[in-house]
Amino acid sequence: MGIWEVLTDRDRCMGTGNCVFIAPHVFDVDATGRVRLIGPVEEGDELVRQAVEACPMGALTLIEDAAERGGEESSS
Amino acid sequence: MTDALADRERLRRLFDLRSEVYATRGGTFDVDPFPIFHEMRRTGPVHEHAPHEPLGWTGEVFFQGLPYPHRPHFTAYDYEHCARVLKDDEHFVTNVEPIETEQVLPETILFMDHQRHRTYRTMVQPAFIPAKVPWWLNNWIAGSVDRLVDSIAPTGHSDLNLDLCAPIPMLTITGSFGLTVEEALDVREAVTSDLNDTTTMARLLAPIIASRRKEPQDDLISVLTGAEVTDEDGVVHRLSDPEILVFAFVLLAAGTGTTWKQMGITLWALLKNPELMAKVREDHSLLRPVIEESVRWMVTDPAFSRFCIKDTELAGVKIPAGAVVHVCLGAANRDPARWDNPDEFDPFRPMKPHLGFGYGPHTCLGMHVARMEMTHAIGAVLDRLPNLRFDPNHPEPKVIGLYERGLDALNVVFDPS
Repeated sequence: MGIWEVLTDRDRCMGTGNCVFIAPHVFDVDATGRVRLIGPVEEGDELVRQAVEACPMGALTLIEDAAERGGEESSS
Repeated sequence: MTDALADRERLRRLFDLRSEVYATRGGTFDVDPFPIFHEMRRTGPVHEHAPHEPLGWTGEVFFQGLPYPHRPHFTAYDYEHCARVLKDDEHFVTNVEPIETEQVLPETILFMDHQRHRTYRTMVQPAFIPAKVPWWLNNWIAGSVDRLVDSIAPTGHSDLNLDLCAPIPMLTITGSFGLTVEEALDVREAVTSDLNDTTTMARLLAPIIASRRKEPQDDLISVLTGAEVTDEDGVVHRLSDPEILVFAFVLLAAGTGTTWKQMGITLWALLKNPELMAKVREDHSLLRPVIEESVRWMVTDPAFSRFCIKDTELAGVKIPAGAVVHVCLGAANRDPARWDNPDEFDPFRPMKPHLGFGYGPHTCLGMHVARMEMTHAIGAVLDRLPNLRFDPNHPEPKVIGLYERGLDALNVVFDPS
């Protein structure tokens, strides 16, 4: 079992808000029109997986074994 | 509502898939395309043809990526490859140096790519993020829905496709541009005139642009007049009037042209299933999965396209640079590799991202506004038109159209109130 983390690439992000629509407890688009994480990413949260997949710009990456990778931090 | 909308003949002409307005989108096409889409996916999933060819449509077509008779055409029918084409802008873009004389709208975000597209899209994107949906609802959507339902409720019968679905998105987007209801129909007429009545648009918008430049208001046209762009020399400037006009053109065309059809389709899907409709009437939170499922199951515009700019391969099919690649969203959204019983309208199925609002850089800008328009309007219909059912004196509604699909009509009866 791994710890889930989401990496956000704010340079790729265009602020479409797909992630916010699917998982508003984790994602938000701020006033600059870029994604930011607003809540903890819980392991096994299917909505987070879908939000990552639904990003039209490929600006989100889900790391499912973050612990094994050394607890890489989410960029912001 | 108002005298402008009381001109039902004009409204009908501007929002009838069988009318001249939709002729080159295959508006009169009335075959169920989904068995053919399934067949094409099974035997493909990528074929060398345009989507209307296996459907047997031989009429004139004018749509994104069409006709371009001198380019090879390919179509992808499965989820995986449709998603790839929409997302992979290293190979697939919306604009190329035209090799024919066929005109595409110049200088609109629909036909920009890469950084230029990003620059222009991100000017307006903040007005369309989920957090802005209440702004749309309170300023433009709720009032229009209330007034329209007020005028329908006492009558006991209605063609909801025309009386409700058509005007709501039109009044929302034109309202956000500071246009009056009377002008809304002129705008609709201008954006549906196959390339395209920019004179009318300029006449209607020029005074508003001038006024907003002096005194911005809390509306979308003020977002455009206030937007700043940094050019290649690093100089920051405001959008010019012509730039605002073409931007406005796209937003007004998209805003008045798509959501009304999806709203009708969604209401139709509920009316066909009274038990489900009763559940949704009791619990409006079900509108969210109902609308998502509607967009997956019967998306209004089932195929868009990209130009290939670098030789590549899709599902084993060689795609040369210069080709038009159509992505059949309608087929991708019913890919059995992704959804069980994909032909069933089932809002209780496990939700998965679909391609109904597109994917990649050109993902629908207005999707969150469109969802709210549908949510609010359908909620009001269920709340305020009791004992709602199909009108037995009219034939059952049909979904018609090829590149743009929607209902032929949605005649209903209910207890007047």
